[in-house]
Amino acid sequence: MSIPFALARDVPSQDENPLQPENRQMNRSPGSLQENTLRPDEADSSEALWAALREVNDPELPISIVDMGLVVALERREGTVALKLTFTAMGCPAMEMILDDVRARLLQEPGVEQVEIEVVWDPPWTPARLSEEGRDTLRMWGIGL
Amino acid sequence: MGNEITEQQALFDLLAALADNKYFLGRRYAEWCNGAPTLESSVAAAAMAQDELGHTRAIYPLLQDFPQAKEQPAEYEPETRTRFCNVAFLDHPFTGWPDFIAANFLLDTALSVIFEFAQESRFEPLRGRARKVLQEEQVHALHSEGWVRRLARTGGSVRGALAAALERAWLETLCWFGPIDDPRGELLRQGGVLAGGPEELRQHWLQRVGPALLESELAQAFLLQQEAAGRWVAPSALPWEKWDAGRRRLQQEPAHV
Repeated sequence: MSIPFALARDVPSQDENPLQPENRQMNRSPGSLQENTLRPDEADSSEALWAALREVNDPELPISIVDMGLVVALERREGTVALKLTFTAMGCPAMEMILDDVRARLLQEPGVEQVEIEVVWDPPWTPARLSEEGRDTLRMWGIGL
Repeated sequence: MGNEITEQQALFDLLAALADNKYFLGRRYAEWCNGAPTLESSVAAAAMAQDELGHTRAIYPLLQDFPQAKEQPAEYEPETRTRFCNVAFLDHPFTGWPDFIAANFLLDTALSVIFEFAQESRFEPLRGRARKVLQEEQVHALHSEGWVRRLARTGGSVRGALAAALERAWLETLCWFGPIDDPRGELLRQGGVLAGGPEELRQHWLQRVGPALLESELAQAFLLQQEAAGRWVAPSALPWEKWDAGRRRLQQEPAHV
């Protein structure tokens, strides 16, 4: 995922990370996938989807794509899960691998029959998208933030 | 010719030129992953190659939504494209590290100018990629300008080789934004695809590359000067008679891999 180089060159921004479950309500820009489109009985399912995504790791580091801040938006419409994902670098060599892992993991969830993933580049990824747990993991691996 | 160009054609040509130039820039950078003068620059060459190829991966798919690509489906994959729209000086491998730096400094910066002018584009796919591309290009700009100053300071034959490499790439990059009355450029500006016409883009590029060239006393070869009002002038006679407007290159013969 080119993390060291990407981190070294990224300009920190003040953006909050809208991907974390606790911050998902921030994700309300027009056209974005929004959690509030879920029916009440789907709320539990959404939590399960976030938990499932936490099991998908970056292939190069033991950090989940959720803690890495790659999940920009998540929505479930009956049997379909729609995600917007971003990556630390446009030339990320692990991109296809991560997309495959995300699809495979979500398809294991009950009732999920289809996974639609859109790769987005705006907003660009910055270290501000890392969760606290993600920051700790990267520091432990010697990656300065 | 100009009367027949549509905004759609101008946009297709722009995207093809961006994708092909970044594709060949990435390939040429990659050829120096283990040959740059310093270990750090070899790593930087690898990282920048990865960036450029990543940018092409984000741009080529945009071509497939155009009727031009539907007529010839092979023309939106770099592996099967036959009609490349890259500048002529990327047709062949760099002859040395100064060529790498000249392309890094002049052309890579020129491509970034397009993304700078596309940050508010009405063409969402370009707008949606612009900020990320520019974020990644910040390091390319720092790398290239640092090396221009470093090679210039070294003096002697090193400085001479840098000056020759810059000269090889200069005119074609200066032309790359198109003639001042280029119908394609005007259509892109009027349609809100880019926030400026060819001359505004060229001025912005000169503002980006001019200071380092002036301060390194490399600008004289290009007659490049900055007027009191801040406007840059590079009054070289531009070889528009050799200009292929659709492919944004100075030679008519086909580019090849």
